[in-house]
Amino acid sequence: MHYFLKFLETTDHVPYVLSSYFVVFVILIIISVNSFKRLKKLENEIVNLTKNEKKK
Amino acid sequence: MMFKFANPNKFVKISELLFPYFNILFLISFIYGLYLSFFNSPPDYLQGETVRIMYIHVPCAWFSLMLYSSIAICSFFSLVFRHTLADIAIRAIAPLGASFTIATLITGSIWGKPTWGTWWVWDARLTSELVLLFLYVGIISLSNAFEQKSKGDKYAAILSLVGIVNLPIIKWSVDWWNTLHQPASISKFSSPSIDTIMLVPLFVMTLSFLFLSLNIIIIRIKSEIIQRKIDILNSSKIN
Repeated sequence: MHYFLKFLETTDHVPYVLSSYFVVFVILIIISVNSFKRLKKLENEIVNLTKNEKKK
Repeated sequence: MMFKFANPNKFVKISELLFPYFNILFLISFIYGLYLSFFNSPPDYLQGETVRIMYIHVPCAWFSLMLYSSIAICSFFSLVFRHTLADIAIRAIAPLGASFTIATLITGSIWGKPTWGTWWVWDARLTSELVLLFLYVGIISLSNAFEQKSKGDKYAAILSLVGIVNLPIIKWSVDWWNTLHQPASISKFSSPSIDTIMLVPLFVMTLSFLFLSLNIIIIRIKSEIIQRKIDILNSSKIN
C-alpha cells in the first residue's frame, strides 16, 4: 500500500503509467471480444447450415 | 506424435479441455500481477514511478516477438509439410501478434515521453519494432488477399519466413547501434540487471499474458476451423 500511495502522490508520472495500462487493456479487450464474437457467429452459422442440410 | 496432435479435430477437443483452466490461470495471474506492479514494487531510482510501465510494456514486446517466431515455425510446417493446422494457426496468431506490437509501440512511446523527453525517435529498436508491425499487417493482408485460401496461406507463410530476419535485429539492435533505448535487462537468467522485487511482477504479468494469448489463439483457431467447414459446405452446395 505504501508504494501505491507514493505512486499516486507523484502526479506528473501517474497519467503516463495509467494511460499505458489503459491502452493495453483496451487493445486486449478489443481482440478478445472480437475473437469471441466471431466464434459465436460462426458456430451459429454452421449449426444453421447443418440443420438445413439434414432437412434436405 | 506431433502430427497426431496437429489434427484440427483433435486440437479442438484438447483445447476445449484446457480453455477453462487457462481462463482461471489468466485471471489469477493477471490480478496478482497488477497487485505486484502497483502495490508491491518500488519506484526506480532513475526513472521513478514510470518504471511501472515496464510491467506491461516488456511482456507486450516479448509476445510480439514470440508470436512472430511461432508464426515462422508454423510457416515452415505449412510450406514443407503442407499441414492445414499450421495455415490455420498463422491466420489465428497474426492479429494477436499485431495487437501486441501496437501495444508495445504505444506503451513504449508513452514511456519515452517522461524518460527521453520525446514520444518517438527513429531509433533502431523502435524502427525495427515498427517494421514488425508492417510484417504482421502484410501477413494478415496476404492471407485474405486471394479468393483461394491456400494461395493466401502460401504467400503469407513465405512473407513470414522472409521477415524472420527482423527478429535478431529487434533483439540485438540496442547492442549493435547507439540507441536511446536501454539495453536488455534480462538477457541472461543468471544475472539479470533488475532487482527480484521488480522481476517477479514482470514475470507474473508475462505469465498472465501467456494464458490470455493461449485462450485467444484457441478461440481464433476454432473459428478458423469452423470457417473452413462452412466454406466446404457452401462449395458442396454450389457444386
